[in-house]
Amino acid sequence: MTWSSGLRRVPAGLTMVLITLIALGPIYWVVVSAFKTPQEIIRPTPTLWPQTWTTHNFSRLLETTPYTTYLSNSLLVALGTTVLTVVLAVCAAYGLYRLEVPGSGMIAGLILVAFMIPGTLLIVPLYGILSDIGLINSLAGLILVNVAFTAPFCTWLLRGFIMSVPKEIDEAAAIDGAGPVRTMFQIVLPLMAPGLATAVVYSFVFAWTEYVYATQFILDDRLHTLPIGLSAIVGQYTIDWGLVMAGTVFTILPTLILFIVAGRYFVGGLITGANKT
Amino acid sequence: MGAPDRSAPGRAPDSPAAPAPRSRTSRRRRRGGIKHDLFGYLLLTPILAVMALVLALPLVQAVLTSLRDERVIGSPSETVGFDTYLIILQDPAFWDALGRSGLWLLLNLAVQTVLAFGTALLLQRQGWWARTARVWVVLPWVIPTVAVAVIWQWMLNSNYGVITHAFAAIGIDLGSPFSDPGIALITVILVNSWHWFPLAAVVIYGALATVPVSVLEAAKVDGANAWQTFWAVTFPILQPVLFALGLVGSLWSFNVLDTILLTTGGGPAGATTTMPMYVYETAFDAFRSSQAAAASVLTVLVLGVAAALFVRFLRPKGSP
Amino acid sequence: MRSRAMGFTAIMAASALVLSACGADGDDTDDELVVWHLETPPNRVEALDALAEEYNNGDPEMPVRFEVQEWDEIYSTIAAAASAGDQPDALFVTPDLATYVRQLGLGAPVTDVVEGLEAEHGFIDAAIDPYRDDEEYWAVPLFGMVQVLWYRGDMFDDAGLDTPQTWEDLLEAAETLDTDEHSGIALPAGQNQATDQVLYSFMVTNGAADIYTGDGEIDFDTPETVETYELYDELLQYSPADSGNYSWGEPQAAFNSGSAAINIEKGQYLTPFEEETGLEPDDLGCAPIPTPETGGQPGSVYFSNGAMVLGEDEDRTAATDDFLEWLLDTENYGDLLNAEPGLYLPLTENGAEESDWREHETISTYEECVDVMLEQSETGELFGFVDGQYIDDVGEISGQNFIARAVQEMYVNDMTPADAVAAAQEQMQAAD
Repeated sequence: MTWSSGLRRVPAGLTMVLITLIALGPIYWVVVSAFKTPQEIIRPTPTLWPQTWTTHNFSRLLETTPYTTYLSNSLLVALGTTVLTVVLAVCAAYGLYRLEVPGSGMIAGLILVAFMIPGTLLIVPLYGILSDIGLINSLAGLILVNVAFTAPFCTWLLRGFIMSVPKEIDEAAAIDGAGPVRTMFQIVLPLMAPGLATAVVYSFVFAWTEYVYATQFILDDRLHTLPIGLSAIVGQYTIDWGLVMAGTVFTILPTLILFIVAGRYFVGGLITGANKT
Repeated sequence: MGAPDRSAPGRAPDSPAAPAPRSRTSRRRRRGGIKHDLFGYLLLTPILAVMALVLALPLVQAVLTSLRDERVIGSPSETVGFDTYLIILQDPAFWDALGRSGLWLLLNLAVQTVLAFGTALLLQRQGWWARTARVWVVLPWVIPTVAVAVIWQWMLNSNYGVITHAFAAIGIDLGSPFSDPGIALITVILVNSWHWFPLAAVVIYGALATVPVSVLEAAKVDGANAWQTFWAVTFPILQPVLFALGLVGSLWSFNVLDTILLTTGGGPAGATTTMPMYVYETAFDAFRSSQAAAASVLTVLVLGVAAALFVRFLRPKGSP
Repeated sequence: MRSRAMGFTAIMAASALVLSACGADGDDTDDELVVWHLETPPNRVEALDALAEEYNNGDPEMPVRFEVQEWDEIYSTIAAAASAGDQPDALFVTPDLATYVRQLGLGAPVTDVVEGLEAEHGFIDAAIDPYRDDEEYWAVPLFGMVQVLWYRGDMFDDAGLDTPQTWEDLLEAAETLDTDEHSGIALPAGQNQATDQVLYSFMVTNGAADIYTGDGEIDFDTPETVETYELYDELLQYSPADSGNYSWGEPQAAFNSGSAAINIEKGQYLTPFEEETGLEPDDLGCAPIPTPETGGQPGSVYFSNGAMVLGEDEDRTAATDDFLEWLLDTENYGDLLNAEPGLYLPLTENGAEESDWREHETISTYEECVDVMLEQSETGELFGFVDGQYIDDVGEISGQNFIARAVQEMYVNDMTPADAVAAAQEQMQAAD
């Protein structure tokens, strides 16, 4: 099938087991622990399988925390961030690496600078700016901040993808009389599909897991996102392990469902989709 | 979600093996004229506007702060010029943190590259493992760092940690990974790598999918072995993506704060105080906002030089 | 072709809509008081929200809404809010956080309120003293927290040990109970507040509560402090191997899982004890912090948690005062304290007896331990605020966890207690 078939001498099966263990082991552990009693969770000798199954942790989570509110806030922020990021990054990548407008080198360098800035440095001045434009304590403000971090990354990510689309295609399109807009949307964009998929995944997950800015710029409990809700469970003086495990499971679950349902669009499907153009 | 249809590559099958590189002479700068450029600038406006508002404006304010002697944020202060920078440059803790950050960066890069490449290559295969793995392999990355920190501290706990017990069962005493200054940094690097390798794996997997099967088959017919094929065919095609990932990933990795903050908080005895942690402690624990700003500005300069060198020496041939 | 361009436009429009829709959320209404608290666990959030609702049902001048903030982030959040002029009407604080908030230029004196409440309910001294500066009070005390000694009664019984009263007893008990099955004690030794506080509790018992001279200079490096570090160093031998990363949660988990026999912490031990250990309430032992054999005195770290009034408008501060007075009313005070039963202790003289605090199941079940904590409260101290002291920048000492850093140097880097304390003295002076 691929060049890697030549590597069959390398025990691929062993590597698969290893990667499965590394990636899924801790997650397995969290999931089964979420179904244990608080006593069993912290037992000195860990039990690989719950001795008594209980959904007590989950029902406590739903009763004592506004989980559904956190969930819908997180979904709003993640979706908003994703849509805006993809739009901004595609536009920027196309302008910089395809149209190569005068000064693109410099602008690309500027975009790069975005990654050198330690996020902590920006917290206080950014708070003032968001406050001035009325976006403090609002999900829109959080989306805006997320996008400022995800869009430059995705622009860079798309660079490789956009450049691997042969430029001859543009020229052929131009000969056919297609304008720049049409060339971008109809010809080049579909060929970049794998890159777009990655950008979607990246920005969604970034927004889904973002913690530092969400604690700083969202003050109202009704607007908190899942990581903040989870961090609150950990608590200052005490850790309620059962709640933490249940909270973690519920935080992973929505993205897992998303990946199961839409995974083929993200990865495999988009690649085939691109080929049909 | 079936395996990607690899018999139909995402690019013209007759295009050359090294696709992206175009020589400078063939670049047609003025092809579209003013209309072409205007459209380009229009496309760039939104991202630049967002970055100006969220990144540039606060950064300017931070630079101004670094020229003052502000302690608690927002408290009265005076302009002192570069005095604050002198204080920072003379602080051994600053240099320690910088060195530690260098180590952090390199080890994260090494561990994640190995894990991500290994995973991406396996994801490419056929069979149920690769098919399901494409969904679940991202899980470590979609977990909020808050949870990552709690989970690993708990699994490595000396009393009831499952990993501690597993290793004890085969006769290895893990000791206390987060609180032993000799291995705390490595431990946090491993935790951070666990959290982030799936992202790199997905990106590399996506890039691998753009490698045309026809070219690989041609190489095979020519009698190239797997390594030769990889270096001669696959790697050049992956290079633009790897370059972007390597550069941005490194810069980004350098600035990781939350994983460290939430696991060791920079301890034990400063053993995991990297540069972002140093800035955080200076600003929010020691209440020296000007010094924190100055340290950040210096860091940005160091990273700028490093990035310029990276671009200069590792940029794929022919790309702008 | 066209459909793609349309799709693009639609996405742009949709995202603009999302943004504007989100923007509409969470705007503070002007006739509502916003109070920030740092009590993030869900049960506390719920209990405090219920209190606000009850207050609002009484048709007050201005209704109140609580917003919960992360303790770890509050220093930056409040600084950012202050610089943007967006601060809440009131903020829950500890004495050291209060000094920081005042340095941000925030906070109105609440002397009249405190004196009125003092006349009505009678505050214990440790509650109000840390908030007095420039002849004004800067926060309304709400509840206290104190550390005591917790021990596993079951393990003590098996080993035939008595309740430790002196440092020597404590060392002996920790040594005896340090077996293959469990550690003798679980102490935090990470660079964090938990470590600061436990070590400071021992310092108080050794007469080293005051880390400042009369002139406000750092006076940390004293023989009493060194002795305390020596004790801590010895105790850490019997503490789990990863104590160097322990903060609040880990010692308690070790205790409840049966991996450690002794802890020193605040009152959050009551509620989860039965469920997590599977033992009877009687098996939870509690006692005052052991004291040195000679020259010792009872003592512990004590936190008076209060609320600062941050609003600048006169109507709003008056309305905030009204709410805080309402919270301390014996009718409501029990509900406030039982937002975290056992951890929050009454600090008014009539609060303990006249409110329905004691009727809560947890409080009545563990009545003995609750009384131990109340008694210990009377001997509580906090560095920077000893004997009427008020150190403006004590936040720089507590914020950087210098006490805990010295523990780390000793425990992790094998420095001698004397050297670690001397180094801490230097660091504190440099920071001051």
